[in-house]
Amino acid sequence: MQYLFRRLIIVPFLLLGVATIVFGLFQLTPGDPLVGRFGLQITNMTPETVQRLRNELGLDDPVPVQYVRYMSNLLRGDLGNSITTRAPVLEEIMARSGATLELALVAFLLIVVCSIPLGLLAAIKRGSLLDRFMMGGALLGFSIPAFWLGTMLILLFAIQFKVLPTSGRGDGALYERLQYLVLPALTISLGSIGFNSRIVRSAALEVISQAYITTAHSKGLHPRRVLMRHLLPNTLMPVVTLLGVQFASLLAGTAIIETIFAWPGMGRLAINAIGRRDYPLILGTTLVFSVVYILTNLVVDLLYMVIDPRIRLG
Amino acid sequence: MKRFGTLFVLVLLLLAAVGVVDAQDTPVEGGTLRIALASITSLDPVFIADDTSVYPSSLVYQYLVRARRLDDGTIGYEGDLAESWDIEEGGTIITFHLRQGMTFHDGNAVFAEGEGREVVADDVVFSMNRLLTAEGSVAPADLKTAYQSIEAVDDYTVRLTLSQPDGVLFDGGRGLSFLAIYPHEAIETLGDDIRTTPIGSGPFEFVEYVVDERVVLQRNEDFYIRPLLDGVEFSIIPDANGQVLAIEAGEIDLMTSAVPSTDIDRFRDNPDFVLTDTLITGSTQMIFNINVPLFSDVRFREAVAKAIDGRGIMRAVYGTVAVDGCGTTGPGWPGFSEDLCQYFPYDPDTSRAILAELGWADANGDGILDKDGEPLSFPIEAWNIPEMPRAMEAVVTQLREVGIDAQLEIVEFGTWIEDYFAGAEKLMPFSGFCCIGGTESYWGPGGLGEAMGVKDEAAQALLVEALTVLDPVERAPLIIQAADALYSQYYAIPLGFITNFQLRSARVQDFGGIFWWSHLVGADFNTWLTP
Repeated sequence: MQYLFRRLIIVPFLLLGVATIVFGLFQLTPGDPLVGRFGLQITNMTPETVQRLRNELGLDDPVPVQYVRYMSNLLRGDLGNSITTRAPVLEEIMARSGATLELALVAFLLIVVCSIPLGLLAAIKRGSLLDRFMMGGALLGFSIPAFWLGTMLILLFAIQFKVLPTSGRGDGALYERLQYLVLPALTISLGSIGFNSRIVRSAALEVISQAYITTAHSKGLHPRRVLMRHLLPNTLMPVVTLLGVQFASLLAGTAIIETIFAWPGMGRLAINAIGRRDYPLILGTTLVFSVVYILTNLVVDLLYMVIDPRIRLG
Repeated sequence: MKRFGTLFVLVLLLLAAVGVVDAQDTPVEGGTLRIALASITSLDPVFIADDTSVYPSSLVYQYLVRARRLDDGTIGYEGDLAESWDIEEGGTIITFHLRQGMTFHDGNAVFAEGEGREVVADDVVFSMNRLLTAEGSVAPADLKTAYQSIEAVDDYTVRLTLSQPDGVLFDGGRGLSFLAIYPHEAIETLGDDIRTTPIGSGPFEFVEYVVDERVVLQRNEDFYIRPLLDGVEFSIIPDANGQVLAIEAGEIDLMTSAVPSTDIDRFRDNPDFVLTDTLITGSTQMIFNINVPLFSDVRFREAVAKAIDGRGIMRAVYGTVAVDGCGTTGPGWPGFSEDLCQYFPYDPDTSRAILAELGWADANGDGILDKDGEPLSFPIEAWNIPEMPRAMEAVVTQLREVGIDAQLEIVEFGTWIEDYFAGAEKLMPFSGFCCIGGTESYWGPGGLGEAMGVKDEAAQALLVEALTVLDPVERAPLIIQAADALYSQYYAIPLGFITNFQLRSARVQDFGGIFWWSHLVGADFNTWLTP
């Protein structure tokens, strides 16, 4: 409990640090937010309009003034308004969080469901043709760039076979929505499935070589019992950390996939915000992604305590 | 009997064939047109700062007048809310006569079902005042410069008074094209929510906007022309390649992003699709900052220009979408002149000769010319739109052949335009501006050219005069004369033009095109879908 309290107390300071770093980096980045928003249309505006907009957005204020204003707003839970859409940043993020969470959860489920059994199977059948085939496939899986894989999957399943939609999120029944999820979820999860199954295999091989596994076998325990009671829990420790980081990445790092599949999530919002120099939105999305990483790491630490009683007792 | 049977079957086949032809030629009511667009920033017309957000909003709102690219390539101006208009006092007073019986959409948060009120002149005045005064409004400079007052003469007459005649006031993407008409009640009731729930009087009513996913519209049953389509659904697909895949898969009927040049040829002869050249030819040119001592000499600028094979580079890099020509106003638009290319032949020998005359020589044998111990070198700053870096690499290679060491810097657009306005001491390639008003905007007073020190008073006077000439045919010679004065001084090196192709399914019939607005229902077109 004390451990948990210690971890939680750090979170606000971490966020403060992240907000400061992101704000500082944004100040160093070249480019004018007004140009980002209006593009060439800015050349069609009168100088008075441009100046009025700059004043309205506080862009001409000294950096320390902008920083204090930003941080005090942040402490009140106000992330400001998007320069592009004029809507509150929090509203913009919340409108897309459901889509990102939905995609991340399905992809995460795919990663867990596929990589652990595949890795275990490869370890149990070590050196066999099946092992080599699966590990070769895994290597291929995490070597293929996701943007290329996504396009290829669209060409194959949406254009050639016409069995799945090319893009979008769908708005009908669950079955229809699942159809829209298949390709993006597969695209972002395939690399992690390949990578994780190799990690699971390595971890499982290490556990298999332990004396207690040999003892369990020699006691005549059913192989399934050895697998479920001894092999699996001890293999999962390194994988849990990995899965935690991967889940955070799925929530925060799916921007390219969301663009390819026109998935209306937070990653695409962040990419658009960067393209348009929409700094309140950039700061807001970065902050949210940071919270996701911090909280996921916290959950992973807590999971350790659940999986390994030694940590809890220690 | 057998012969009679065969004849009977043939007649049936013939009738069936005729039936098919009829089925395809006869407009059919019903169906939803599915359109892909890259993004939506707002549906409140006062704050729309990108082309794509206009596509759905221009079906919800009416404007006074709409400009449309006709099949013969010319621009037609059609009344929308204004049924007709009179231009008086040499173009300084425009009186719009509004269409009577037009009503705002009902069944929404402002007007209950069946209670949409009539659109009157006060609504036009209100919309204009909001466009000109709202904080953050994107009201164009063209309109603000010329605007003097607007008044409702009676319920169906609006008088717009200008400080000077304005030849581009009606053009798509300029002037009055920003003036969408909406009720004051919508602003009072919805406030900022009007950016996501627009209420207008156009041919389609707003139904739903799901952020980053779709905008759904349905037929406005009360519109003065009954739309044949039941509705329109805009899917937001940010990537042009994604839009191509979606139209190939039959998920959308029309894509609004320009078709990537690599995809154009495979759609050209495909009977399932209609590929249309928009003829919106954006110029690609390289602007000298003439405040830089090196670039201040017209002979030096001429030498650089003649070392570059603009036409060859554009054809090699842009392929199908490259259009030959020089200047800012593109082929097919009033003010385009083929004669401008006389100043820009690819002639490296002349280039070398001029540079030698100016005292540049390769003193150390490294292939780069020198003068006073300094190598002939300058930076080129390009932004990273597709193909621009490749085009500039070719420019750098050709400049090196005459002994110029050009340093290519690739930046993203925000940085580029900020550097441009800050008067970057570089050669600045630029892509954009075209069509009506293009030359005036670029090289006229307050135009982009001034940031590079180009303020040619004689040319600017011609362009100012051109803006006050209402007839495009009469305006063209003035623009050409100004362009000749500018390009003969080599302020910029025009490489050529790039056009855009749009793609739609062959199912889409009687389509009015996309030119600033979406044109689905008009006086002589009413878009429908073959079953």
